[in-house]
Amino acid sequence: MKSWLTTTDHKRIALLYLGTMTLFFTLGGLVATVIRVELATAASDLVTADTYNRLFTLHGVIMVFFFLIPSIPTFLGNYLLPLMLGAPDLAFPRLNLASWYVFVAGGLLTLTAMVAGGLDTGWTFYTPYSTTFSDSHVILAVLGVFLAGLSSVFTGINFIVTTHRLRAPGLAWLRLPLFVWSLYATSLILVLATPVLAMTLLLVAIERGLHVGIFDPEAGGSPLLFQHFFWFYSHPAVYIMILPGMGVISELVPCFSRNRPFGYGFVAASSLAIAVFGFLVWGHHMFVAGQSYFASVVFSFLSFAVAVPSGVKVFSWLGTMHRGSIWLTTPMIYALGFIALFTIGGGTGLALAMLAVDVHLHDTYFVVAHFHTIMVGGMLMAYLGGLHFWWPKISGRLYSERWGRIAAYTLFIGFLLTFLPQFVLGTQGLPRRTASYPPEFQFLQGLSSAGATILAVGYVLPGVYLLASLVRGRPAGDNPWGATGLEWCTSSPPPPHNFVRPPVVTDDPYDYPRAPQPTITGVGDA
Amino acid sequence: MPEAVREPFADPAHQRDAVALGMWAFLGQEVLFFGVLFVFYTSLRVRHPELFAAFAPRLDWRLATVMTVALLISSFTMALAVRFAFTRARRSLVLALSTTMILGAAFLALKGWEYAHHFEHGETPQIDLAGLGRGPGLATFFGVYFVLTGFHALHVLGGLGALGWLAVAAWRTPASDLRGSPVMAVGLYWHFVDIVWLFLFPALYLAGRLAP
Repeated sequence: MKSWLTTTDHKRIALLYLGTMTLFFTLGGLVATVIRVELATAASDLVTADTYNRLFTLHGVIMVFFFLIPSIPTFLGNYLLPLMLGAPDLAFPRLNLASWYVFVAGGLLTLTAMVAGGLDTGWTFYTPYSTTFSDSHVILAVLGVFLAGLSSVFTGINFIVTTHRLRAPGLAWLRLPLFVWSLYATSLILVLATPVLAMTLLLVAIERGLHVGIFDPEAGGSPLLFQHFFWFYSHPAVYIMILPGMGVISELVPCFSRNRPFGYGFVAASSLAIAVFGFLVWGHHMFVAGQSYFASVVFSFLSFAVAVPSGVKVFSWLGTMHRGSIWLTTPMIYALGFIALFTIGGGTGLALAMLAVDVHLHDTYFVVAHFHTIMVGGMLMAYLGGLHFWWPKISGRLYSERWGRIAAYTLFIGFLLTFLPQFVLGTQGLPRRTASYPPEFQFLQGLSSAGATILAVGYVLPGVYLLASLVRGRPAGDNPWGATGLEWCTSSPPPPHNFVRPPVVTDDPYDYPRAPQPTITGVGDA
Repeated sequence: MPEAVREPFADPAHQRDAVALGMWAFLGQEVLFFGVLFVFYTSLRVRHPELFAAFAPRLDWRLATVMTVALLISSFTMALAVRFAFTRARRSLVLALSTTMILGAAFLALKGWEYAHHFEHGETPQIDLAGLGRGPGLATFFGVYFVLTGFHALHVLGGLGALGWLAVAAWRTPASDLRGSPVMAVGLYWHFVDIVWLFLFPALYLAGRLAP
């Protein structure tokens, strides 16, 4: 136990993060369950409207700041980045451990706020409600999120320095795995966007606790300024959430198509382009908040521009599968699910980036459905796909491929059933964040709640068979999928300093025509 | 502190390189951190220039000049400290670090004295809750003043902590074992905090003085 809590091994810290985030995800999921049960009927009969506000805030804060943002970087990134670079560890191992402790401290503060009576501002902490009027634990919660942000900054700095300084001999930038490119782009956002949220939340705490009129219009402050600050972080934050997911998909698709990635250079550059463009679109959250029309037009145009590098990635995945030899394993099912749902989520995002359309759709279920399609449909599919792909490497064991496929299909069907009805609800004008709604929306809301139960089953299943594989799974071998990449050249799980002999890279990545044969059996043909 | 080469690095130069890059990345996030404050300042200044014309003259620019000079000299002694650390001149290193700390502490002491003076004269950032609706005024200006200088002072305080830790470690370490990287990293940070003050000084103390 003590050896785990004082470890500086990036692999163990990654597993500490995995455990912590799984707890947060479970908590956020349970709250989502209560929300969907409440919404199964039109009246607000299970919880009061006030409790409902606190529930969706709890769900949002936990899921965004304590699961989605850290998920892939701190777990898969932490575990895999040094392995993929051929390095013994991250550049600053003690900073890495510190980031986990700060993250846990932030989580505990936030949970304290929730237990002490909750937070009812929504995950967006909009002023002046949060600073003046809300009768809930704003200060505790924002300090908790501040600490989570600090932990993100630590991780980002560590990844940037590691990628620059600890690449194996011969591992030039254009030989880096695409997952590393996406982590690098994500780290840039983590380091350059997170401090803006951190300071903004401190200002909220100062205004609320010390009555300094920073955002309060009565005292000369500006609530719109808060929104600019908040979205300057929180829009890039959605790229923090999705970019590492795209990186995972860019690893899965070449491996299970047995083909080189189509347009490697474009995919690598598109990660950086998304990171850069992501900083320039925050105003599309504020089309109806009173910013100037000129600003809105520019933000709308730039939001469309982000679709270009995102489209590059989708075309690359499709081009990689084209004339490849597609092997439909569990990770590949998740990858295909990601491509389908990300495309739906991205397309509906463009609808929201249109000025006139957004006036109608703003603050409706359409926004909820769009966001969850990218985050749950996209990001979580990628997370689970990556988890299944690298699980044999991390645990050294093979899980039940049959149950893996059943769970992946269950999640996909559950997802569509839960969130497609919400797109329709949004176009019909149903506002989000209300506990009760007019009875004519009963059918679609009921359908959504029914879908959520299927989704819940899909989340419980991997928890069961992955844990079972630790006890009953067959040994995985070093490279069960016959994948390229340095992480597959070492044992499963890797030894404390990753490689017995420091690797030297002599070839370009993803040489699938000459990759080793898969050693896994009983999962169809490669 | 001045320790042997740590695990992931092959040699001291490699480690020094990585520490420098890490500190630059950290300073990058510090720029954005303070950037929020400067945008807050700009937003207020653009919307309410009259507040700055009315209340900025209440700040003592002569005192602030003395504080600026203290910080500038401390940056010089810090630069000397980095040099001494790399040349393993232990006694000079301890002396340079201590001088830097004394100057930083003098800055904070003057800042604290200035704060106390403001509070005595009712120049506080607290808005009068009962008087809501009176509009922007003295409290608004002193809000931005205290928030900006307060976060800067906290950074100076953090720098003093790091300097103290370096000085104690240098005192205890034989000259042959001295390593430059940590001193260099803290030095970068110290210069950054200095530069922030160089922006705060004219933005707050000299604001509104040239207004017609």
